[in-house]
Amino acid sequence: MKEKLGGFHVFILIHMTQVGVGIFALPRVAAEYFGYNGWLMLVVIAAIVAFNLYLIWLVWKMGKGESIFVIFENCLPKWMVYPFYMIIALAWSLSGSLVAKEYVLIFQVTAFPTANPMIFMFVLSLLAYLLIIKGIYAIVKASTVFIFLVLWMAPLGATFINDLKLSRYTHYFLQEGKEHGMGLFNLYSSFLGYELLLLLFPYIQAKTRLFTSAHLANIFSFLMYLSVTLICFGFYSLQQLKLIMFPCIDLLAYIRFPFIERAENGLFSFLVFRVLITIVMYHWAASLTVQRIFKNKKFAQVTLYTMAVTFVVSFMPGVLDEVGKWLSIVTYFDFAFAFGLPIFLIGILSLQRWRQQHV
Amino acid sequence: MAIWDRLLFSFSRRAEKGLRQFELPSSLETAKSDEPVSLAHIMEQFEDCIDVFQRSIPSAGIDIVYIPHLIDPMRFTKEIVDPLSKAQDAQDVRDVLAQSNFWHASDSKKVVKGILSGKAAIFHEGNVYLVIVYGPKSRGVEQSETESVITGPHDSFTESANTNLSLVRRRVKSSHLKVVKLEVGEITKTIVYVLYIKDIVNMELVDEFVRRITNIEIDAVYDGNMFTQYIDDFPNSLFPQFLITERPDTAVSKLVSGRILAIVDGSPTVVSGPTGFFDFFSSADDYYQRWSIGTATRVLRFIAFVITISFTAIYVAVTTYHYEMIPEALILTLRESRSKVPFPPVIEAMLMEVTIELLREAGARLPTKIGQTIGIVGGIVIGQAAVQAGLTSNILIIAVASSAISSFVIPSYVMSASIRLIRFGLIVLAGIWGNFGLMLGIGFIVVHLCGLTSLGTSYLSPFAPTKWSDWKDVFIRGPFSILTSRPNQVRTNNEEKAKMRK
Repeated sequence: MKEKLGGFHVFILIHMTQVGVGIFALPRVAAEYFGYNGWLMLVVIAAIVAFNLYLIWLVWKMGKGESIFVIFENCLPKWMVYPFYMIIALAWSLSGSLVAKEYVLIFQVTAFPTANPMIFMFVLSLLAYLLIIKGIYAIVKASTVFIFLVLWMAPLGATFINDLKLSRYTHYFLQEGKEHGMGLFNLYSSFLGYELLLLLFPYIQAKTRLFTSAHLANIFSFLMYLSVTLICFGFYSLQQLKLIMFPCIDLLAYIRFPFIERAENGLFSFLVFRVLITIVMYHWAASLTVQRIFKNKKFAQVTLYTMAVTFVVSFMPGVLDEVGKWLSIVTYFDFAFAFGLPIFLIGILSLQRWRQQHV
Repeated sequence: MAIWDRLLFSFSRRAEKGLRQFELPSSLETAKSDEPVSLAHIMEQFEDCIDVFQRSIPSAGIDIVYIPHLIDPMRFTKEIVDPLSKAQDAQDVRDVLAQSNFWHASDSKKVVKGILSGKAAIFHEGNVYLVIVYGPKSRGVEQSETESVITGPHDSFTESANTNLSLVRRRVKSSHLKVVKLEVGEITKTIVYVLYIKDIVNMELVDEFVRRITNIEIDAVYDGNMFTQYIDDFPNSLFPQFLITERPDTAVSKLVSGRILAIVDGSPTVVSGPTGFFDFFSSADDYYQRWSIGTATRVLRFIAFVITISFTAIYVAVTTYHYEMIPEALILTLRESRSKVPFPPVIEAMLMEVTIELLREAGARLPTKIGQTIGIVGGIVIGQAAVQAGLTSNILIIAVASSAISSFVIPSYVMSASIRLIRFGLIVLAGIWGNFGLMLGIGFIVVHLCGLTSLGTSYLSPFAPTKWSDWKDVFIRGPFSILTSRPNQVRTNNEEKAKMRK
């Protein structure tokens, strides 16, 4: 019996793909580029994502749930489509590998300074690979389990209520910021992941309220980012916030329980599940794209090769800063695909519709 | 194999049309052979089988062949010997043999098989008749030892499939309960009864279940636990994919919820499927207690599960890498306790865990009286001597003991054994990478569980995919007033309970 994805599955998948490593540095990015009350920019970003989701929904409606690969291949010749597929797949797969690398490097900095990060990364990639080859339905199931394994941490924010100073949410808005354009892009990169919805079309039940689920996921991610950023802006001063590389992780260090002295290490480990789904979804999307070129190869084989290539590439950036730079370059591509693909597809579908009407 | 395939095909065609006749094994019996059906030939087949008896009644001109310890002597005398001995002439004998319980057999294979399965073969004027007089001595219905409950029925299944069938039939007085007879094992020819309730069960699942059983290629089947390994979706997984129970009430509850049962002759356990990971955490007791108490007990079992898999691993992770997590008041005690231990925490923990497993295994294998001694000796050795000798810290003893006790809270022994084994992997990972290793281990388990299915249905149901409506009978034991629907996992069209009143 072939399973199909329902609204709740889509909600979980998108939310889990969106929230990854970006959350650790998000308050700093907001503070650095937008200054006082920089968290307000999250509202703008969430609105842009909502518009992008609307475009994706249009593709779904116009294409009647058809796979985007089929739409492309019906209208463009293979010699044009295949190189395009390769570029998309490379960008997505690299996104997955670099997110993994960033997570393990952060983990190395916080807990295992002497360990080789690539060994961590290998194990993380292995785990991701084992999940990817089980198919999208298993990925959804794993996401469901993982979301429950990490969601219990959300109420921990309440422990900071007494430490928040209202005076830090000054009436100054977006002052002491710089390069707003770059800041907008950096904040936006934390929301990315929703664009993979484009690849889920063939797996979604016809009656699923795709648009609603996707928006709810985006709103949920936005609320999560907003709560974390608000806590950081109220807990730290603006200058502190600009200096701390990963304010979220530092924030975890302040959480104490009667039976655990400093829980940040344990809590940070739990976040591997969030990062894992982001990694899995990007690699899954890349493998699916590559398989359109090598149709005779098995999905597990394609995934292995794709992941292996980007794993090797991820050896190159050695420190967090370099990984950050690489990741921002790849994010440009992801950003372009997030907007470019739906617009392009809407164009193709409109053209097809126009042709049908005039034949 | 060709016959099997053809039969399977015809079976599934009938299934599509809604005409369901499970005739696979019995159809095979009808395969004709050219061998003669004579007394001499049959006795030749049983050469050197001293337990096969031949009895003659010269006045009636008949010979009877049977295996005494497979038959009920009273029934044998009443149904065969008495009427045939009283026959006055050949016509009287023919009249007796014309009765419906005397079944004419024309095939020697069928006769041999009949004798082996507790029938008596009657040879008369070149014809052979088979009569069912099966009735060997078997163990009486006793209390379950592995699934004991405080409240509720105390009877349990026995090794006799017929007794087990009767235990189910006594509880389900409905013609909707259907029983299919199958045969497994090339040599043992073990009978397997497949039970399901028509109009509740999803017939696609029954089809799949029957298909898997008929595809089993094996010499012998001795037990239900062994049997499940041949029909598992993932035989190499550590996790059981079919629920095994000794309790008739549990088995019946599974039937009523739309699941399928398999009763294996010679096994005191009954197999039920499809099943999910969380089914292994519920006990019959939950339903016999008040719902609030049942819920508390069930929640306790999930806490026990978390303790079992994580306690020792957390100890290893914290004492190896994350000392900062230990509260100040405890760190002095721990440091003092650990200062005498020469091994790294992971070795220390493995040493203790293996010792606990040794004690458990020894306790399970030895007779009860000696088993108690093992418990006492083990308790002293682990509880005091190991700490005093500096082999382990006393905090680890607490972690290992809590972990071991918690593993026994899980009602299913099979699942409990799987979880205990997984724990070792987590301890090693925690020893290598601390908290991160522990999380990776949990990640591997979750990924594995997500890929598992039971009869093609999701193993993690109703958690993933999430079916909120089923949570009220999985993570809690809701009041009966709200337990009105059948689980989503069984994919039944008859979702509402109490809908079969006809």
